[in-house]
Amino acid sequence: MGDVKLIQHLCNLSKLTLTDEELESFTSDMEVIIGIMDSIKEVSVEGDIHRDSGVYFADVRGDESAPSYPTDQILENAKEKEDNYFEVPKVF
Amino acid sequence: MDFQNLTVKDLRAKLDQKEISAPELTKAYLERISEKDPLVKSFITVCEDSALEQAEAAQWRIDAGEAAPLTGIPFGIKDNICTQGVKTTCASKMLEDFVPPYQATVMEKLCGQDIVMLGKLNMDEFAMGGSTATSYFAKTVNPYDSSKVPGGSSGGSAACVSASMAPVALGSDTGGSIRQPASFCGVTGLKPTYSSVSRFGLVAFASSLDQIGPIANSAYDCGIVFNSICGFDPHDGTTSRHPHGDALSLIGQSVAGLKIAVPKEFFEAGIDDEVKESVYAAVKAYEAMGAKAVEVSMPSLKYAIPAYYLISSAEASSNLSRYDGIKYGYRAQGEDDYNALIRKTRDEGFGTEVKRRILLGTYALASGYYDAYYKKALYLKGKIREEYNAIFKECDVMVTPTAPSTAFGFDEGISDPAKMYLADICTVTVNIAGLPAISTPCGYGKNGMPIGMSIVGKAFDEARIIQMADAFERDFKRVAPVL
Amino acid sequence: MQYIPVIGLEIHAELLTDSKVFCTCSAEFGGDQNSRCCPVCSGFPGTLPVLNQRAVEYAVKAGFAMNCSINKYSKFDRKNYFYPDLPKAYQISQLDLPLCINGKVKIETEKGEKWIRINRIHLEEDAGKLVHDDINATSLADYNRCGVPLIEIVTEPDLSSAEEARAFVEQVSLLLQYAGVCDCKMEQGSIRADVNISIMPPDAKEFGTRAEIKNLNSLKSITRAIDYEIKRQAELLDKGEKVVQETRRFNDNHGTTKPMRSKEDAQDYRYFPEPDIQPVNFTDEDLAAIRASLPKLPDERLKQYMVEYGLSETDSKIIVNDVKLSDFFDAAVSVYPNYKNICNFVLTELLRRLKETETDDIPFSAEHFATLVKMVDEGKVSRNDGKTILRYMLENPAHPEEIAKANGFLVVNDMGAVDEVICAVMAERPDLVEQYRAGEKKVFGFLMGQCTSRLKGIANPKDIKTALENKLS
Repeated sequence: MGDVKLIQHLCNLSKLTLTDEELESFTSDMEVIIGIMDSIKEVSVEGDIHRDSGVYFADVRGDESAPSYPTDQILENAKEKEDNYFEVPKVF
Repeated sequence: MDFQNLTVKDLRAKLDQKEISAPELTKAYLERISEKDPLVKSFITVCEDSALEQAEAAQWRIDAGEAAPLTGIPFGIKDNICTQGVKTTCASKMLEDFVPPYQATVMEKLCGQDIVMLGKLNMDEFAMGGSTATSYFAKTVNPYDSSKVPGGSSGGSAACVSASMAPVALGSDTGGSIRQPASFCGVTGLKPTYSSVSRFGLVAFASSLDQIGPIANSAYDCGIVFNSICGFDPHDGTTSRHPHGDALSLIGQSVAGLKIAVPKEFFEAGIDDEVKESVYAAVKAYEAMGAKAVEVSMPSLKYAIPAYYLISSAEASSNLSRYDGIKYGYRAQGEDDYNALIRKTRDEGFGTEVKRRILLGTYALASGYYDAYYKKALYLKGKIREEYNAIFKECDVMVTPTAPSTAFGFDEGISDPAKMYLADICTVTVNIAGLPAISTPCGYGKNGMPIGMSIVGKAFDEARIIQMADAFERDFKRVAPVL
Repeated sequence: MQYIPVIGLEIHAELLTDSKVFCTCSAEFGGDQNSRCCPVCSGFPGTLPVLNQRAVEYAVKAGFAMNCSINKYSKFDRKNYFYPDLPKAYQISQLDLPLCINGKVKIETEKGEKWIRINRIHLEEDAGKLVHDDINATSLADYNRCGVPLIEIVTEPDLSSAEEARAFVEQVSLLLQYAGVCDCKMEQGSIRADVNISIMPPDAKEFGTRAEIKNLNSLKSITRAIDYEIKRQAELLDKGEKVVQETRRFNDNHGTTKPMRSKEDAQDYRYFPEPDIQPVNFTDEDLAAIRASLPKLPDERLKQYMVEYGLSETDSKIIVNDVKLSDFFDAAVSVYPNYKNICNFVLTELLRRLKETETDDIPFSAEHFATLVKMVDEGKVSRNDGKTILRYMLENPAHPEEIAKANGFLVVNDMGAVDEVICAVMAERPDLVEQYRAGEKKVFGFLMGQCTSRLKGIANPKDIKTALENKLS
């Protein structure tokens, strides 16, 4: 289970890049951790999966708009910005 | 000034009777911090100037005779609670310089009472851990023994109160992060019922489990703070509209006739003998007060750790996806490809434990694994809730150890994730079930380290567990920490 | 070989709420970049989404308009993926318990009516907008659209041509506009579609492998993309090759589709229940109230116009296919129930004028319009003057009677004056009177013209004509 390929797949999904060293230690850590998690596999699901009871429609927030934040506060913490936009390397 | 065991209740009286002014009190704590914190390292940020300003404002209010229960009371705040204009780092390189342009609802409420915020407290990175040792910034030590951890993730909060650098602090609890460090540092910590305290402004770890709560010197103080921060919040759609009564309403009432559930699985292998003995002794003390102990069973406890880690890590993997270097926080240099940029940012910005949880959570949700893991964890969540419900039909509260052992040393397996995960066994079911629990010191180990017991209550029954903890605290002699 | 296309659509429609679906920022289209944002919709740490009731209500309304069942317990889920227009790196959507399920929408095809089944309608949030800067090789993110409420309408694979797809999108747009939940302005992106398409030989029992074409934002691109894709897949099968299951992008300039990402990059959205938003429970009363708030839908109106009002099918359809026009017509006939005349004036005069001025909105009330038609019908103004009054109303809305008065269009029907004028005209041209009485009826026109030009605004032509005829005989 805890093989390198799986860890690499999980890294792709979660946008992490690991060094070879990290990959090795994570692979062995994950093997142990997944071992602990695997005890759950013996549980057979009988009946309903837990679901939150939820709220009534009448209690859901009413549709009223309020002023937004000033643009500079939204961009204040960004490292790269251009003309009041957040800037990222070009995507397609 | 003698800080030891100074409670919020005492300080309120001193402030109101003008024995001390709010600025004097704040200065005294700031001095205490500059003296002690270089050893304890519980603060990430100390807000000297703004604390003194807030103290002045508080004094105005006290002088005007309009003091609220927490006016002028110095607070430490865990650094995953957003404070407008004050750096909120989550003890991570990822948010090293993040300054929120908004205030968490709990801070809104506390500031509405004119509290004094002394500073922001250390924690495990993104609240993931039980030692505070995964912080990017510093290793907080246990005030009872600097070679031992303060617990976590709210280790800064517990250590700071324990070392009397603040009379009270806010922490957050996802799987024991208030109770376990409170236990390790010999102070009282309350994890409220899920949905009773707004999470708006609490940087999310696991949204369905996270709750903000107080760490203080007494159950009574926890009740004062809880009264001030609980309630429905229009900014948090998961807060309950359940009316919150006064959490201090049962204080001082007799516990005679109350039924205490003692679940046998919490006293089996894996729990240190001195912990078991100490908690059993506390149960005996309650029986001496006229309460009745009932042995109960929670068969699903053996699945609690996987259920908790699967749910919390799954939610965390999603909650932490937003840290990509674009909008705020750390941004890696030298990448001109979007994917490479965010991967490098996340690789450099997150610590090892955070990455581990992200990978575990991603695994739990990944196509092909969801049914085997996440779905079963949700099923067990329902089972665990049912078991608690059945117990609370018969009993008023439940008493368990807060942690399997007293605080461990920095050299004792902190780097072994499996060992660390299993150590959460006593606390996580409470989060899964969404119930309130309070940890209060009930003894000391052979090495002098504090032992805590947890009193778990029915949903929204904070008043009952505060009453119980207070009843015990009245006769319990606390030993002062060495630092 | 001839193949049978099997087509399903996913239509995304932005809802006309005041605030965004999970925060209180304005959901209105436009605004300077990042000016309609707050920490919640910009994905800041510690912020939480708070569901908008009207967004839920509108999604349910859309569901009722498309004959759906409503889940009385509906929950939200997270769809996780990284893209710079999605600040939280997950989209809040609905997976297994969407608000609406099992609906159907009727379209007209060459072969007659056809019902297209709706699998589900769920509520989700829109993403932001990216502007690409080729010179600096950067993409610039604007989060104004982040969190604007969207519904996704997912059909069963019941469509079998580009034309049917087009008819379906048009019908859905119409229903959404009738329900008042979306303005369906394709050019602003408020409605757009993804197309799932496969083809199979006529004797095949199973569907072929499908391709998905993402983000088509005009009717033309939907039909072109489908036609291209049918051709592309047919060519592959003819050559004995296989269609690959993949997501493709339509290039409007070339009219072709291309794969969007390689297979190694296959998406795994890792859906799980959204822990920050509680599931929504509806009472029977909630749903009844939402249903009752729906206006009469196009089908019902069409039937009413044809059966009750006696309008032709063609005329009825023209009115029904434009919700604003239909609402206007309904309001007008409620004031003056001469259905045919109102209809004629709408179709011949109003529509022509609106087209000329290129306005969407009718600047005057239906009541004023109905009054104008009534004035013409009753001869208070001449038909020609009525048209002029309409033009004035479009330029400068005022009550038609006031316009008529101010411009001297009002016919007072002073029969004494008519008598005088007729006598005068007959006295001026006794020759013509004689010719007429001798049977040369065509001179009537000239005499009539003389009378009407002198009686403009004094009497209506019908009465003048009768009076003149009486005098001449």
